[in-house]
Amino acid sequence: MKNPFSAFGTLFDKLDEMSKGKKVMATTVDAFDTFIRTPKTRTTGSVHLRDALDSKRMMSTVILALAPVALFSLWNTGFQKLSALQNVPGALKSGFALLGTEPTFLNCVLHGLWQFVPVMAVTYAVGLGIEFVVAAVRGHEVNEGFLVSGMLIPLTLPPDIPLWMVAVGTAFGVIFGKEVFGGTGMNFLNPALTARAFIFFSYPGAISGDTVWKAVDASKDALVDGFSGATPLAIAAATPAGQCPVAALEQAGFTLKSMFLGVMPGSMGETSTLLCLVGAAILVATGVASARIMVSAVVGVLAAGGLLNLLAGDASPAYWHLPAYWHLVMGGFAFGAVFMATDPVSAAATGIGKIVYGFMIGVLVVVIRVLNPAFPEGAMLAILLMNVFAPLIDHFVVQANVRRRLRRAQ
Amino acid sequence: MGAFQVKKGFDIPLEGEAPRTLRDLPASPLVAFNPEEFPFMKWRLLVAEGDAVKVGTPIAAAKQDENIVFCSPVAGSVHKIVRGDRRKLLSVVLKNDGSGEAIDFGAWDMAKVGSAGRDALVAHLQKGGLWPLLKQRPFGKLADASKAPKALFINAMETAPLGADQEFLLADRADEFTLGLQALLEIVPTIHLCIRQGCSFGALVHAQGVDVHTFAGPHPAGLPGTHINMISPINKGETVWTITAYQVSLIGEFLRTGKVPERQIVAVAGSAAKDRGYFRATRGAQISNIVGGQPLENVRAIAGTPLFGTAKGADDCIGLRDASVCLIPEETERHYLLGDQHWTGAGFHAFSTWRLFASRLCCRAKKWALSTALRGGKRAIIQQDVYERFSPLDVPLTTLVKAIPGGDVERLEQLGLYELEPEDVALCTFACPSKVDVAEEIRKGLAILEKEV
Repeated sequence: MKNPFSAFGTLFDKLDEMSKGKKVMATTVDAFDTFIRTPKTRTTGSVHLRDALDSKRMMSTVILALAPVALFSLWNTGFQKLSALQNVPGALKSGFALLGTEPTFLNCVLHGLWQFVPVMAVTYAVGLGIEFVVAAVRGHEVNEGFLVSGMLIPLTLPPDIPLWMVAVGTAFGVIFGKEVFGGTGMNFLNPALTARAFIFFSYPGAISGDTVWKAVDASKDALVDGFSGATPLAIAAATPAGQCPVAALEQAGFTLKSMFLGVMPGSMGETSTLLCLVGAAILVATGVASARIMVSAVVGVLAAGGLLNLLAGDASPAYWHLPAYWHLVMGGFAFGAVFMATDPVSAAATGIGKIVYGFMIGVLVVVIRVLNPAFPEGAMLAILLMNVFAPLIDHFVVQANVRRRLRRAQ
Repeated sequence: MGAFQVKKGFDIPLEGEAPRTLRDLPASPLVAFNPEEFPFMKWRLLVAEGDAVKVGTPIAAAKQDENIVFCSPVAGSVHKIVRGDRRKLLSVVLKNDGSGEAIDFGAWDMAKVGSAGRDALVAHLQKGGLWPLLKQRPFGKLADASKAPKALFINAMETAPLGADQEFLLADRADEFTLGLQALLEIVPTIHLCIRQGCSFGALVHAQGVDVHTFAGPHPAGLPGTHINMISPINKGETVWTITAYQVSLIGEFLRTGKVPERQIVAVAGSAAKDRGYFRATRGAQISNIVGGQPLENVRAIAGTPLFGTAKGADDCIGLRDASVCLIPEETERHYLLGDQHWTGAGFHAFSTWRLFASRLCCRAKKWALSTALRGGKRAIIQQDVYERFSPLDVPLTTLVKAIPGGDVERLEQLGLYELEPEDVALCTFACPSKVDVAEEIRKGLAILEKEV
């Protein structure tokens, strides 16, 4: 059977011909050409064979691993919105009013799409636009890296984030998180997290929930809190000293189970630990992401959390008493450890380095959450901080190899 | 004396292995000397176009040591001298008249080899043009006879896909091997002989005066780079020599007969080869002669193996050290969106070392007729640990490859660049999803390093 897309072949042959010598057009045509069909390049040099895996398939595997999280987030975002609107008659804007406020599955997904799609569309439009321009200027092929970043960015943002902030944040993340260093593969920070951090620090009001759901001002307090898992984290932080916050959390409806499943408010993609685990399984089974980093991050959380549990006395803040494993399902830790910390470019590269890097992320998540009063959530900052340290960790591992070589010579 | 188990590596299951049958080929009408086979070496021509040559007539001498010569493997005349930019010598083509008239260098038996002394032996091997079979690390240069190496590594195994089986090449040549080995022992006292685990070839297993090591595991378990790194890694300032067991037997043949060997065995393999097998071919023979005149349309002929070798045209000739010629299909097709071999496809017909293709689930036992497709676009290194996954060497490859463009010689030395040859990292080139040619990067790095030393 003939592939229906082969009809594009002649079109692209013509476009290839037309774009010869025109740099901007050539990179753009090449990007679409190699998207539709495999490149015509053959091996040169001494090695005549190549593995079938290319960066396109590798990146799309990450997107595939993100799919369960993204699909769930559509439903959950809609569900949270509708649940919050239950008691606010007339709060829905015109179009949705017809559908009613019943949180049926279809209704939830539609509301979720209404929130998610614009954010994603803006992210991809801005990010890919920059990628195409930069590729044309440099005369490189267009990189696939942003296909993943463009999926990650909306999932780490609250559903109500103003779109212009998404655009500015994405542009900052792509340009200063990546392109200034030479593009995908040369960056040392995860571009998606850089974008989120930029929005977080530039527009704290928008991301921490002050202006959520403008349509329904009256019931602001009861509504979706856009801040990354801030609600359970805030409850834990606010519990009186000397008590374990578990009771308070459960009273507020945040049981271990509900947070594991993720039917709760939060940034769009990071509520469900279960679906992050599904993504982790896909990434590890295919070998695309490092299980070492994920496992050592979990160990890091348990170690730091466990240590605080041991040290906690009657006078210590309530957060110290929270059982360490609760940290695993709260906030953005699971999403960060699976999809952000394992970014192969910004993570540590050496075997031992990965263990140290992952472990330190886990420790820092707990330290920032529990010991730092300014930031109730630590996953984003912990990963970015360890991104910065990853080259240093690798340096020590490599230097050990160098010293071994020098010693051998004596 | 050691048994080594190589864990990191990979055997690419290629279709078209050469069946173990040995046949004679008609003599090649033309043979050539290709200086490109010897990196970092400059040559001085000793003949002019039209000169008559015998088997054993020196054709060119290495400028670094004029005692090292390349000798004609055929009798006839100098057909053509090809020069490139700035009169760089590209190739010397010799016409074979088939008479086989040979210079007699005098036969040496075991007793004479034992009593002649190192210098006489070195001079004898150099005069006969056998010396260039020895390769010196670092840099893969010709062996420098004036400086004793730390050790000589004789490789009696092959793990590269479609490579020529050393034990089969040696089958009837045990005596030649033993004589050649004896001569090399006079020249280099420390010899490591590396054989396949489970090898039962007597002349190898019971070789006298050498350290016999066995290696098992996936490719590159059979590469000298792996053997050296595991047995006695090269430190700064040290040199080691390498040679294959079959080449040792060619040295033995030269000593015993007193004549430069005219023929060598070449394996013809690869999914695109029509007549596969082992052939006794003229040394330095033309590809068209070796492949029996098979047309090379949409076929790539490679001297060496598809994993590491030199692409050749039908009229080109194999090099002095090549033991196999492989023919594989050139990629001519482009696969479209959602097609099986497209990056969005299931991948039943796409070979990969990654668990990302259906072929990994259903076709584990299958042999593959891989083509020359690059299968993707070139990118910066994204997966930072692939090279270490496919290399058993104790060298931080990813860090090293990234450091090479910087050209900081001291850093490159620290990271162990001089322990490598491009061949050692061919598997990394194969597996890299960013399509970085690691072997080529290492070659560039060695060129930087060599300039400084």
